Amino acid sequence: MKKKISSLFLLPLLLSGITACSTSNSGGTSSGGNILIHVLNAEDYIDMSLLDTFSEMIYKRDGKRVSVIYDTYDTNETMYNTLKTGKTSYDLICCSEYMVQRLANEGFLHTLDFDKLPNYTTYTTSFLHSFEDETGKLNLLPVNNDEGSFTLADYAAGYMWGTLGILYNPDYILRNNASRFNENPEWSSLSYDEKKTKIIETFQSEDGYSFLWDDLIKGTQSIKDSMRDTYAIGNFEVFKDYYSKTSDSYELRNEKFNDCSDETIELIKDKLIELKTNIFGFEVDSGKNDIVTQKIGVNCAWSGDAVNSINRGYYADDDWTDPREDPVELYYDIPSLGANVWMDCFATPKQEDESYYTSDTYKYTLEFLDFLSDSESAISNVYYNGYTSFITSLSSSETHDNLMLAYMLWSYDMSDGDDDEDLSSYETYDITPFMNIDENVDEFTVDLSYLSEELLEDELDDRTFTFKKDENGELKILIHYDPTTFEGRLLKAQYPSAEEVDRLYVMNDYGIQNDKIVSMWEDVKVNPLPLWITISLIIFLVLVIGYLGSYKLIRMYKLKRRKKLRSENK
Amino acid sequence: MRFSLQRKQLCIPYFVFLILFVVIPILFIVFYAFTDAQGFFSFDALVSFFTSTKKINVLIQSLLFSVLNTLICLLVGYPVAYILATSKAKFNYVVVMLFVMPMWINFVLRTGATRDVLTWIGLSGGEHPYIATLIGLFYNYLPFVILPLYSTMLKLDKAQIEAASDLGCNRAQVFTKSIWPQTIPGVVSAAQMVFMPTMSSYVIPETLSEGKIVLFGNSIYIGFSNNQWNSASFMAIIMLFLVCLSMLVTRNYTEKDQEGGSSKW
Repeated sequence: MKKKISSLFLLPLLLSGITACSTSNSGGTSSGGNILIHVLNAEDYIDMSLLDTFSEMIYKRDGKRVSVIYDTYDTNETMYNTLKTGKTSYDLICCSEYMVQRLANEGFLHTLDFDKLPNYTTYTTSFLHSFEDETGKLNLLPVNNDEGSFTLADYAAGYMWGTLGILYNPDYILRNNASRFNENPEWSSLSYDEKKTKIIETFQSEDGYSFLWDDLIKGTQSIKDSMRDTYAIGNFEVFKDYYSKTSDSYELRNEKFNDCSDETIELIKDKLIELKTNIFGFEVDSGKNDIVTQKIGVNCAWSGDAVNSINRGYYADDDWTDPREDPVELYYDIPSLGANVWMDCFATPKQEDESYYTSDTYKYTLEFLDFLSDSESAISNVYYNGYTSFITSLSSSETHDNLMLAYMLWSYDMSDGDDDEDLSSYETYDITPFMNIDENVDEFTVDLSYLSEELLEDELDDRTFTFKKDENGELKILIHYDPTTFEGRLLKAQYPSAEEVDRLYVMNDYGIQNDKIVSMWEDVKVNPLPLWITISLIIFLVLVIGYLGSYKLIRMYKLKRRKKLRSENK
Repeated sequence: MRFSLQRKQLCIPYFVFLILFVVIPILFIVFYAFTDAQGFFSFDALVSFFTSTKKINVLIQSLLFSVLNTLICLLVGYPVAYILATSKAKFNYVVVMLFVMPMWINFVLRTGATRDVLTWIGLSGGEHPYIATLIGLFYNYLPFVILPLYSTMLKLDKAQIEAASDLGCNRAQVFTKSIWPQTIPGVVSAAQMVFMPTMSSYVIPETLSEGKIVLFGNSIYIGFSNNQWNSASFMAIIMLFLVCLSMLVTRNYTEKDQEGGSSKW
């Protein structure tokens, strides 16, 4: 008896040990004078050296030891499950806009105190203006919970954003599907270069999404194995006529984009089942490699992955210093119908204990968030992950204020900055919406030398750029680029052009329609079986199970017969 | 008090492990399978599973893949195991090791490599999802068939085989009357090693069919990753039920194996 007690005694001890661990995590309580901040973010999304920089900065300033415990997840849904099952053990989380919306709707998040985020409020991009109302809130992502009606902007501080567009390799398409192109009367008469240009133009046009359904590129394209992204593409195809002809306001178009009525779900389902027969496959992670290794030629890609793939197609090494001899020429485009824009945001989970909000942990959590919103941190992160930061530049000549613009000019601008330079050979790319332009500023200068000295350790780049108001009194930030070059293709992937901004749509959380859309998604993914296969399988299984089940009976019968035979023989 | 380690206490770590990682998770699955999103008792998941044609469809499709894969693995593995176990060549052990060695490499990595090889020989999942998946499943589970068959065949009663041929059986009859009955326990355990894991396989169909084939495991994943814990848990229960069923059905064989040895006539 004693033994039993001792072994049973051990179990609750162990279990309590585990729960003790998890409660000590919650709220990131300080242990031994060390303040712990628990952060949950997507994989490969941050320059990890920033965590130490932050700790050092705080130690030098306040004399306190702050450590950032950094955990990662792979998909938003996994993160949701982690949060739901593990209680609130994180001080700061980063996830996509719809997930912040869902969590806020469920009362999981605490509103952000933007007064304590000076860097963020100063440097955050104004491009989101099209999603804002007069009060400056993202009114397209409403949040309703026990505490009242809010919008996403009350809960979230933006980190990175990007689009879902099409990444493609025209050479691969033409090589792999050569016979299909030659048989098609519209294409067969064109020269190789003309075909290539026509492919690029098609993806940029309003037929961009429809081209995925086209027999011409059959078997070269892969689409996202993720319900929301593929639903968005289905939506553009189903409502193609609407998007191309409408003169509706942005709000109405965005409503159309978020249409998940039963009829729309059915229409999209049929379109996607049709698409499935035409594609190479579904992927979420392998596509960005497969397009570089030329297993596929078209990939529905997130802009950051596209930047990564374009880079890897151009460079032979991981440090991106050694160009390939035969580069893989990848293009990223948003069809003119529009595209899904996603935003990954930081948010703070709600803590039950009120005293948490006066604690050092909370104070330094917000400070960490603000530290990430500093220009230098933002550049480190952009340099690391290739996505597009919410943190941007002011129209100011102050070095610290225009660092992000300096970084973009350093990365993409082809001119040498001189006043008397002939710029006619370059096209201009308008990125004004992504900058924080002060209307009162007439002129400002950007100097690249600080950037290359301090941040990039590049050979000294002493170009300076001056931006002035044009004859209409508008201050436009134009980058000189050549769309066919490597840099030009990268720029288009990282930033949509000013004209495209109005056609970027935000997708809300599906809410109660979620189950229906999951069911639709299963219909798309599951292949129907012919009846005869089903019937013959059932017959086969019944036979096997019947045989195995009655094996003993058969054996007994055989033994009996054998005995009988033997006795007869005697 | 003197501390003494008794033999039964040695199994405490295992016992704790079993409770934490087997019993409690199963209880969770059962809990989620029979509750709704609010946590109240309900049969919603059960009803929705048995009324949903696509879920039944996935189940049948998985069964089909399992049956096919088991048959192919047995067809290929049986002669290989027989040759390895009966021939007197010295390199037999090396050949067995060649079959077993890939198992030491993580199968996710191997599946990635299989995908590249299949693309290279022109059988990419983009064009031939069914064939690619079957090849991947076959490649992955073949060692699980060869090993039990090989160890059963090492114990083949040579005297009985000789007696059968001495008493007038032709080669086919020797096989059907002597070798096959002796190897049935090996065949059954080999089939068991392949059948259920194939049903629940997730990475192989996902990777090799380029996401175009959904087997039961993938279907459960879709449920869990889209916030449908209840229906996905119920599907996991179905899976558990099938595991139990396959063990029940094949139970007679293992028993017979022990009895059979003594009651040979």
